[in-house]
Amino acid sequence: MIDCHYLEPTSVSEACTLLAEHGDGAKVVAGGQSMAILLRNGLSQPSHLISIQHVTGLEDINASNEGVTIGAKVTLNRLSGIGETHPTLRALDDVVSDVADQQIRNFATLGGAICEAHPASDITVALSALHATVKLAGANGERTVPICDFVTGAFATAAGPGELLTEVVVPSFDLASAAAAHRRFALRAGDYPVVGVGAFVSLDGSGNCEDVRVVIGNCSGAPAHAQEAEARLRGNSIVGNNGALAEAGELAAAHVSPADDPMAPSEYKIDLVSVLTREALEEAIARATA
Amino acid sequence: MAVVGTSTKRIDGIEKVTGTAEFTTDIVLPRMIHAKLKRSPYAHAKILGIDTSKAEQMPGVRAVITAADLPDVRLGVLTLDEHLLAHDKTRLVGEPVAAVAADTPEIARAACEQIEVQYEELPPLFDPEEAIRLDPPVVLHEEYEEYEKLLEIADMDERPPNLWQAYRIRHGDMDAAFKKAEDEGGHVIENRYATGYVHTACMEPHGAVAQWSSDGSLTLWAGGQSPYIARDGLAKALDLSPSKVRVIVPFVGGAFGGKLTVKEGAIAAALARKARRPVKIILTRAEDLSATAARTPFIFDIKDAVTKDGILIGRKVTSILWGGGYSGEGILKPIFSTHLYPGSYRLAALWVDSYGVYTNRVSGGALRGYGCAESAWAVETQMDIIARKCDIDAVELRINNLLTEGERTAITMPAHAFSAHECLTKCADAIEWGTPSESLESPWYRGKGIALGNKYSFAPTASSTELKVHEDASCELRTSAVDLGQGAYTILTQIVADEFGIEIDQVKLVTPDTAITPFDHVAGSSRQTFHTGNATRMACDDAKSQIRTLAAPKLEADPDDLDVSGGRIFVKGSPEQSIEVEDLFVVEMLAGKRPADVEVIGKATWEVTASPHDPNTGQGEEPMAYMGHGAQAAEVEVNVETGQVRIRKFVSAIDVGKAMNPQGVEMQNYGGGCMGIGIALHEDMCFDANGEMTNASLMDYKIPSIVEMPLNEYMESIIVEVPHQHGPYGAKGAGEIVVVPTSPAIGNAIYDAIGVRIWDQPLTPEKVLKAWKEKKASGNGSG
Repeated sequence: MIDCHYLEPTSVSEACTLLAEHGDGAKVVAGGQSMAILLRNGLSQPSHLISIQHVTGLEDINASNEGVTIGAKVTLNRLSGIGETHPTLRALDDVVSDVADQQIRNFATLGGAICEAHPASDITVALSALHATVKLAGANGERTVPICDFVTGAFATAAGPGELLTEVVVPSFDLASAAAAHRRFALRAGDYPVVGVGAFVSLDGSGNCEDVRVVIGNCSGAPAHAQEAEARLRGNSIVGNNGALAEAGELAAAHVSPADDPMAPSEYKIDLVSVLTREALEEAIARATA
Repeated sequence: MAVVGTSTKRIDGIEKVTGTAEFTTDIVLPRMIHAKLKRSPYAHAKILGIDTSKAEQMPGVRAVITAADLPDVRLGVLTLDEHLLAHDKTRLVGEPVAAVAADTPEIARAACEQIEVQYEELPPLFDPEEAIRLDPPVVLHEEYEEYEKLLEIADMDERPPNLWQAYRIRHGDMDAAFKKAEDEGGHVIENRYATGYVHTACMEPHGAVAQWSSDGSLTLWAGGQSPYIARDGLAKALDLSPSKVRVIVPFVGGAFGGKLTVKEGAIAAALARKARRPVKIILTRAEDLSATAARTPFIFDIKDAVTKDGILIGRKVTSILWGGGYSGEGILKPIFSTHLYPGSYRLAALWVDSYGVYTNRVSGGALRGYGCAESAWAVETQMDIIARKCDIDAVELRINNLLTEGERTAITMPAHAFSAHECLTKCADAIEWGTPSESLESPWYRGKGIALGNKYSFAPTASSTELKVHEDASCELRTSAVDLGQGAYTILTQIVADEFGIEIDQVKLVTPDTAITPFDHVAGSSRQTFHTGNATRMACDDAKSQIRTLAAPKLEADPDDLDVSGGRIFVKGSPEQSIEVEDLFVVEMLAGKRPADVEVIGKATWEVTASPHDPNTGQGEEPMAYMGHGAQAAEVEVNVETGQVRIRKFVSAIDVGKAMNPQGVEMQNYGGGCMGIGIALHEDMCFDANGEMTNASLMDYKIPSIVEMPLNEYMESIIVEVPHQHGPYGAKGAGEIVVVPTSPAIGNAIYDAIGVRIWDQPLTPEKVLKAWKEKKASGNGSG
């Protein structure tokens, strides 16, 4: 049993006021799938749990020219198959069905998964590769933060006092010449991955790499860009160039220094970074050229 | 209609599926309070003092105990080396040091945090090969020589101070075997194997509810494997006469060897006595995984002498069981694991030196296959290596080395109901042995592997049952056999229904309660169908004999000429001359009827003796009750970029003598196969440098899910039925043999796929990948 106050605001502004009022002791709970574990293990010991269960307006998925906006309370199961209706979200679709199990995904929310900031989260890796931003509401209005700046380390975010994550925005890109993909390796279905890699590529008219992003999960506190791998590919021919992709994989692997954990030793994670980087890039290129 | 041999529904199925089955955690008694344990954070430390005053003053706290509140007795299975609460030292992280009972589990937990224990840290010892030295860096049990021991170990010039078990086998001329192999163009093949740390990880964690009566007697509810072992353990720990202890076993959510003793229950009982209130204790998942007995690792050094034609002529083994802080239920593993060294094979010479040592980690316990599942890993991988070395098919090589019915193994176990050949060939056929696996696209490779296995069932042992026949001809079986999920209650019900020719629902079971149900040794060692099954048949015979005697005057026949079936008693050969069983229970009085003063209770004890084995030679007579046989084969897919191993196809062929309930056997084949796959590929308790388990949750301790299993159509159960002369209806147990050959079958398949050997379990992706990279770097295989 957890001994704390449980508050149920009904609007974003009320939630933000409560968060500001109770300061560091206040934690947000949405679907409760991450929070329950943090509480059980004593990793989070809030004085006040602010449930956003009754806060309305955080459950929509809307597409515009700028991109797709996903409400913080959208459950992971609702995102399963999202790549079919919103093709720019295929990389996110790659991962949602691999998170935990059906029952958990019925409750787990996208916002909760991001705010937990688990170092192995596939969701933040995929969203980072997609250059997603998050919208934070607070007493002084709203601000937008790139997701890679929002997740600052293991179980740490840039959310300030009194701020609530309300939306995730995945920007549009030209599906005819760009795509993203995610590849992961887990020891068991439903597990956090040993390593996850997200990749985004956009191609110019002659099939060269115009832009590329490679994001690696569970090799550091927060998802990390494999800058050396990206540099190897940017501006170069990558379609059908398996050698370049393998090299990018090796470069990515050469620049991570993951810690050992009970799932795997560091050395093995490094091996996986190489393989998964190559595979994620291959898939992204295949989608961009399909 | 025969009921035995048919797949009747589980008699506990509806209760379990609808959630009405009562488990220990469901028990709530008036005034009941809750216990939590204060555990040692150190692997090895002296306890200088314990201050419980703050905890005692907390509101809601009803009792706090330490070793000082308990009788100063050491407990154990055969070497009594462990106090209920740490006495002067702690020898593993998580060892209970004190306990609190309070109004809620939360208060009890908070109170544990307020208990101040002053420790003096001692250097821990984790390495078994350091531990076994004559001059080890650390000694765990300074007073070992004074401990009470119920088992003689092998003679040693000088006992290494951390050693608690030594057993030798000396059979045949070992030197001559190696010389012959070398002189005559044969092979001497030597390898080192290791198994890992595996936990039973039952769905139901350990727990108990304890209640004292005003006459000083104790009742304990605990989901364990043996109410009588629990009763005697509680009596010893609390200095009571066993007659003052009553143990009731509710439904059990899995045990697999992990619920043989009730340490937590005894602590709850001590708290209940002090608090004068009933006390419940339920371990958390983390406590259950990290601080209850586990299957601790073995190290095997095995050296085989083989002729050039692939005939095994000698085997030499040195093994060390990596025990923990206490000898625990692992005490017999160094002995019982030796049954696999001959296994089903003829061996002219077998020398074994088998040891168990203390280290500052979790104590060694039982887990499905008790020693055999571990030694099979070494032996059956070795057989695959021998086959490849001799260029003989691995199935053929095994067949060429098999014993024949009536022979004795190198450790004097008679080969009876010897079905190894049948299990092996049926298994081979099902996996299409001899047809190479299909080639896959890079980076995937496929391969097949096979292994044989045995599982003894120990002796001496006994089971008693009582069978009461009611006025309505229904039967009530009183048994202390425990249904752990294996289906024991269903099978015993089937036996009674069969013996009396009645329907399943006319049989009622009175489940384990030492105040009511007679002695049964344990739901372990695959013994319930064999031993309790025999006792049940005998009790039925006894009851039927009583019925015949009662019926004889009414039918004007000799009791021996009568038969009982379907609720009727009839004269053999003339079924029309009969009366109803219920007629026995009424007498005519004046013009009416009244109940007769009749009681029909059949009783029986089935006992199997065993001759003592010389711990210096391993020789004796009839060492075990029976020996089970089985073979398993796997087809695997290996990814050489990630090291991932997928089981594409899995076949399990086991001999059960007679399938009492074929669907039940099938479930053992599937369930055991899944557990075996988990042990082979996934499960691994990890420890940090301080000896603390680092993956004590079901998120981090990787029990595979159904997704990691082969698809239904690729999972095959084969039931072999070679009747055993002493088994009820010829039956043998099925519970453990199903996990014995799994690991080597998978390991051998990995070799077939990519040509690498992993010597230590589990065969994780990182080990497979590392071995593959080493093979590529050296340009050849490593096995």
